[in-house]
Amino acid sequence: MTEALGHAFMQNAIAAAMLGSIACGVVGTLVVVNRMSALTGSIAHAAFGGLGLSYLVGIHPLAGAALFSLGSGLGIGAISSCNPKRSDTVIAAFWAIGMALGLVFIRLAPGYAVDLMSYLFGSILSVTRSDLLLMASLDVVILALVGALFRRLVAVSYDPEFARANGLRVRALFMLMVCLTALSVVMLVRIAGLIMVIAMMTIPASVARLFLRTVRAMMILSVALSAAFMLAGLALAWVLDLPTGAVIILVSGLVYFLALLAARTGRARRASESLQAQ
Amino acid sequence: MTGPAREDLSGGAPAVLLREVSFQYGSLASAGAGHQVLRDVDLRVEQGDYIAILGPNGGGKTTLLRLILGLVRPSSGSVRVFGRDPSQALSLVGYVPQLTTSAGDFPASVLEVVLMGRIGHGGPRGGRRRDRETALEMMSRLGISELASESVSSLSGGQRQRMLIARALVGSPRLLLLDEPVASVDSASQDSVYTIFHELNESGVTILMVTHDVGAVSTQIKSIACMNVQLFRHGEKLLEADLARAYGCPVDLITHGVPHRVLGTHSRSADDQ
Repeated sequence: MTEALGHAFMQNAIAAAMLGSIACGVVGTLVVVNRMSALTGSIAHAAFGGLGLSYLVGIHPLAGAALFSLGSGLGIGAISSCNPKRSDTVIAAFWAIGMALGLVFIRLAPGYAVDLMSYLFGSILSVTRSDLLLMASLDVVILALVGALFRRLVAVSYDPEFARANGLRVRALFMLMVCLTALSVVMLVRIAGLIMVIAMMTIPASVARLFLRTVRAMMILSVALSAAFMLAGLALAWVLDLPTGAVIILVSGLVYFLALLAARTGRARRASESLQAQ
Repeated sequence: MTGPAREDLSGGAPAVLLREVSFQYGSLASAGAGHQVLRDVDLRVEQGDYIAILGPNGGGKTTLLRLILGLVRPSSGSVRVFGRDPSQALSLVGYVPQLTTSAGDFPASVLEVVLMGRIGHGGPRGGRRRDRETALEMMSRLGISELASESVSSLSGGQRQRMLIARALVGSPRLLLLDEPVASVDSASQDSVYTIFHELNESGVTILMVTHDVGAVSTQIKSIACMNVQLFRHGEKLLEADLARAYGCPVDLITHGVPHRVLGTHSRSADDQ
């Protein structure tokens, strides 16, 4: 294990885990408190259309993915703000249409899409220096925007109607959250792949939600948990010679269900203690 | 931002002025087919008034408040708040929504939620400390200061209602809109909440309250109206005939000798019909 740390690709993978966990924790918390998991899944899968397009026209895959995830996020946001009851089906439609477009583009593109699998399922071990630079810049953007608008973002998440009555630009703030989600998804596609990225964005914040009672605290714990999940998954995958993205997700999932169990027994114990106290 | 707005108020424009306001849901394409929520509503609320609007559930009361807040636009007619468009009067208006519409299970402390009412009202930067002091002061006035660091999900209905009242008041509104403000408050705390509304009204705040509960109207109100799609009457006294038209059934106005109530509750026989 220790000799693995000497490899440049392993150092890059660890750096990617650290940088990715900032987006996971901060934006993932906003996703969880706004119940936007399905939207996140849809944005991630729609990115496949962008990957296909980038093979066809020869641009950087992440640029294509960013184009499609931002586009689908804004599209879903615009259609469902006109009619909130429609958002469920709009999310499903964008999800599948993005995948379908991706398949069509890849079929039309000349040659064979070699590293497609790495975007579908992630390959943290093939992260490059320029990927890291991109991730670091996205983290700076996320932290700056969330930091500057923190109180507004929390107010809009808690009670959008009151926030609007209080003069906040609710739709713009919601669209901002959708864009931050789209950019985080693109960033995490390198780590967990677009199929499993939904888990990276929601599990750490959901675990934090079980034990913490403010958005700020949730964000901090989620960042720490994401980093821990990714590093543990990375190490396990190395030792067991298994795919890293999958092992990271399995570690996160295991912790999530253990946390659910712990929160449940904790509540039951508190309830019986307060019964005895009476 | 609130400075010049305050000065304009001396002009004496009505706090709320609705002229022939109709509202219906549904797209313009299907005009006429939509469900009509309000029809030809005229309402004039002078500054300093304390008005209660009574009506059955589904009678358009919440829609009326949403029109005054500029959250929805009328299908026809005009809405003015302190003489201007509702979107230009937001900093003057405080809103206490119906309890059911606000999220109960959310990771926020009571103080954090009350502070949300200061966003957009807080003046220049660096006012965080002042925001906090204002919030804590309002919370102690409402008797919930010891709950400051509690999680909102642990509150009872009455405590949450008082938190929402505090959130509306920390923005120092000139017009307070209340949607069923005492629906889940126990009767002892109802009195204290009404005392606060009365004091605010005495200090010049205009109050507009909507409720379906005839028994929830306090003696301190200055005018009253009934509403069910149309607005029926608007004056100092409530007539049984207006109530009957709004509710579509006879309603008895019986005083129980309870000091803070002018009206009895819906009588059993009226419910049966």
